[in-house]
Amino acid sequence: MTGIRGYGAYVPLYRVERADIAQQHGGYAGGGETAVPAHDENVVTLGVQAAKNALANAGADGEAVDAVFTATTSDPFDERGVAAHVGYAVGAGSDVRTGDFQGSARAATDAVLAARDAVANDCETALVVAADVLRADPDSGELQTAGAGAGALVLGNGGVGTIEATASHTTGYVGRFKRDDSPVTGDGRFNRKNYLEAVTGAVDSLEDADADHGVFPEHDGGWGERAAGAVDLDADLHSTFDAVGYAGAGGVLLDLAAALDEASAGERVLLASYGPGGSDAIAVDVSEDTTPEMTVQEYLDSKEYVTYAKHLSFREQLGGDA
Amino acid sequence: MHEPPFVRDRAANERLEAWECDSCGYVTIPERREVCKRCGAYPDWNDVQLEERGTVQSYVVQQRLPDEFETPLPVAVVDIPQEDGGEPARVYGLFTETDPDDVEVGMEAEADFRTMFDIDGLPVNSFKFKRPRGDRL
Repeated sequence: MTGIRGYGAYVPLYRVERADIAQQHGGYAGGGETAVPAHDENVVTLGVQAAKNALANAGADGEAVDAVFTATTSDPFDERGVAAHVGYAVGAGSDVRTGDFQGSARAATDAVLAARDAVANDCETALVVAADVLRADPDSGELQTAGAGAGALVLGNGGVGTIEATASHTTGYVGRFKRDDSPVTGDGRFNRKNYLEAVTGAVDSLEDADADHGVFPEHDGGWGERAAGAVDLDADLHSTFDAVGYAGAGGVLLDLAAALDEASAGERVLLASYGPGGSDAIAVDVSEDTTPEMTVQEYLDSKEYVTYAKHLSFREQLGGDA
Repeated sequence: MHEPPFVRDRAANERLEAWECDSCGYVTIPERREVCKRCGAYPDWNDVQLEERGTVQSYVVQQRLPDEFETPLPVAVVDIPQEDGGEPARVYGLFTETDPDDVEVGMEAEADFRTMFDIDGLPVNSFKFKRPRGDRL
């Protein structure tokens, strides 16, 4: 049993309405809106914001961090890493251990499980950060939902809750992928049957899969409800998909933060991540009613709409083809 | 071999660590000095930690800048307090995500970790000011 000392989230200020994108390119106008990072934001800066919010919520400063594990599917660098830079920016000492998890949205829960293991071993405080800034071709269907966001957890002793149980279901099935010479990371395609099988496999492996709050980070609208139906879970579902879009690994911990904001002491939150290769289920028992200074809902409400053209220029400055 | 830029200034750029003159209390960031700019002493410099916020003392709005900047861009003289008291550091800083109409002398600005520019494609991250996110609720 590992404690969650604190948690935090971050969502960029700007939003584009999906209907505005559909108006430019034609095709089906999905409902909702998508978070657009400013021209000076990237995977590291988003992660740092969420990490600082989580550390403040935990009442810990960066020097207390013994390990930093980061997860992303959209770091534009093949070699550089994210964890060391997030660790330095939050003030971690030079003896801090790091781990970079990539390659799948499931990297978020890979990082959480690694941090849990580190805390069970010799690490007192572990910081887990997931951040993504997804890109998409202008004329692709993914442009409407390629979002950006971040979430973070501080694991250690006590705090807002505990990780009560975890289970994994690894299939090796590849539903979505991206070559390193492709600008597209926001590919919304995935195999529905395999998604539900992976999530059901992970959740059913938990001894007690009942929960008050469910988190099934969505690649596309409505899949959280379908996943909850597939595992027979009757719970409040939390998703930022309609307000942020699909945010890869970042969206996993962002949605978890949204659930922790709403969950009361004594309640259970069930998270099931999914990415190429499988799913991890994590059950969190909430023990305190505290929230970070900015809740996910406050990040969603404090926003500014940008036009289609402005949103495109921000995406271009990120180094993508659009 | 690639020589990482701004390595020596990283503590100032990425953590807002500044130096305080032990003779007169003047705070310098990001420049590390031998001689105190204000009192002229060769002091011992104390390491101090700045907060991630500040008060706008004066500003201008830049209308024409190179492509990597977003215009119109408020650029301000901001006093950033120390976490443990003492004099604030006075810096010249860029704004981001802020309508020039929302900037005024005396306003509280948040300092946010952002990319300043890149060198050979590698982003150099530091702090920019912005209208506090909570004010937009």
